[in-house]
Amino acid sequence: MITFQNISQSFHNKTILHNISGQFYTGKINMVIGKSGTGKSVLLKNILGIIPPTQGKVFYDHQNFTALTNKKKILIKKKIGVLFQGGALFDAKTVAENVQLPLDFFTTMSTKEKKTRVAQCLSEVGLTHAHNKMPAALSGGMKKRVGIARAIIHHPSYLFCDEPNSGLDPQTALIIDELIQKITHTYKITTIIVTHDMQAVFGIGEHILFLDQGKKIWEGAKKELPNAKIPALQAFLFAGQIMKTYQKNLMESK
Amino acid sequence: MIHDFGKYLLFIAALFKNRLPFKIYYQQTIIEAMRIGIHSVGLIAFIALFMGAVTAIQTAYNLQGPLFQNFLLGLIVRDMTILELAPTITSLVFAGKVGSSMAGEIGTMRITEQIDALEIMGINAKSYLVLPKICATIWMYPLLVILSAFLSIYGGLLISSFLNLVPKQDFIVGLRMHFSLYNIFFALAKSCAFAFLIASIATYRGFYTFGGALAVGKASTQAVTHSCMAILITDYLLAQLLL
Repeated sequence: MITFQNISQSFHNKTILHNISGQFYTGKINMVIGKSGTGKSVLLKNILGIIPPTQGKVFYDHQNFTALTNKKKILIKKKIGVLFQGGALFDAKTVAENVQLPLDFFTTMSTKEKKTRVAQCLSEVGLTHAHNKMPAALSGGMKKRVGIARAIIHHPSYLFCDEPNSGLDPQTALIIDELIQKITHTYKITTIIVTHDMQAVFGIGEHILFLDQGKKIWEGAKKELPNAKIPALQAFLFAGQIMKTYQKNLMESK
Repeated sequence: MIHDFGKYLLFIAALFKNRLPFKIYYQQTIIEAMRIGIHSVGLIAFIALFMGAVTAIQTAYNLQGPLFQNFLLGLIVRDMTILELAPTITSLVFAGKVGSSMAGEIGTMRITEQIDALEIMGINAKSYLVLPKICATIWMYPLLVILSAFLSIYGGLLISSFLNLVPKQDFIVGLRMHFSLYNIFFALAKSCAFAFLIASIATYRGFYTFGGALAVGKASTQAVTHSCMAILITDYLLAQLLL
């Protein structure tokens, strides 16, 4: 479980995040949603320690991450897997080398063991024939799947995904969502997804945190989401025509 | 500027914190040495040959007259090449080729979140990405300077013979006359200093790139201009100190 308390972040005297507290639950898909520029990715980077928060604390399973020394932080970082928006694959390395990278740094596994584990992870994300391909030769969806394989190779306890569906067609986006859902439930990982894709929110989301203008407006289970009487949240959720129809059907069914 | 210099020193210090297994540095250094050294041989050889040829022609042009001894051409070409042209002029070209490439590569890794990915894994991205580049440059650049010096002198000899500036034997006599081994030491010491400056400045500029493609271009340009300025200042300081 990840808990964060009173997170604030300012850049050049401009406050991006205002006093945000919340929780992400183990074995669940936790989602941070909100409009573009509302501070979702900054919150994610605060929690990951890429950008230390101006104020506030982050706890990974009751360990105060913000107060730890760098050496102790590294021990927690080794339990984290991250899927970046663009995949963040290393251009000069093949798919297999990219996936294997965390094992090269942090394990004493033999080459054969590493190769077996890489094959296992690539098979899990459905890329059994892509071992020797270079990232430049992959489609957007394939890059994301390689990113997922790399994120789970060292059996992480926490999986962070920054807009995993951005730039993907609806079908591929669904495949990525299902993959994240399968991994989260199979390995009981604390998964955190930053997104503004409503298909993902209503499809796989379990615990939702809604940000607006750098403030936490709402937090709760997905099933409570349509009932939340918060205009900003309702406006965000049902902005598109399809979602408006979904909302209408929801009201009628009641 | 002082803030920037302090940040650069902290960047260099961070290379040695939270070090990775030696095997990883070794592998990366070999890969970088291939990219930095072997792939620069053609350009360095081309520049060196013409640099030597032009030095010979211009020296001969300036030293015409009854007092001019033929062997002086070889001696001047040799000393100019070893003391200044091979280490310094080559380093300026090297900064343009290798420095901009390093800054561009690391800058692109920064904006595409590859560096963030390394840091989240708990890897010291500075050490992993930068240290092998610096080691490979310090290893390969003096070798390139030796090649450059050899080809530059050879270029001078060829053009002198071809244009009948001086007889070949006289040029060779000049090359052997009053040879000081200290000059070679001086050239190699300069080469190591320049190699460190090029690699560290370029990677520093790349590492602190923020923004998009425009920022990467800016980082590459700054890497080259700042490297060239640092090289020329260091060249002066080393000449003052060591000669």
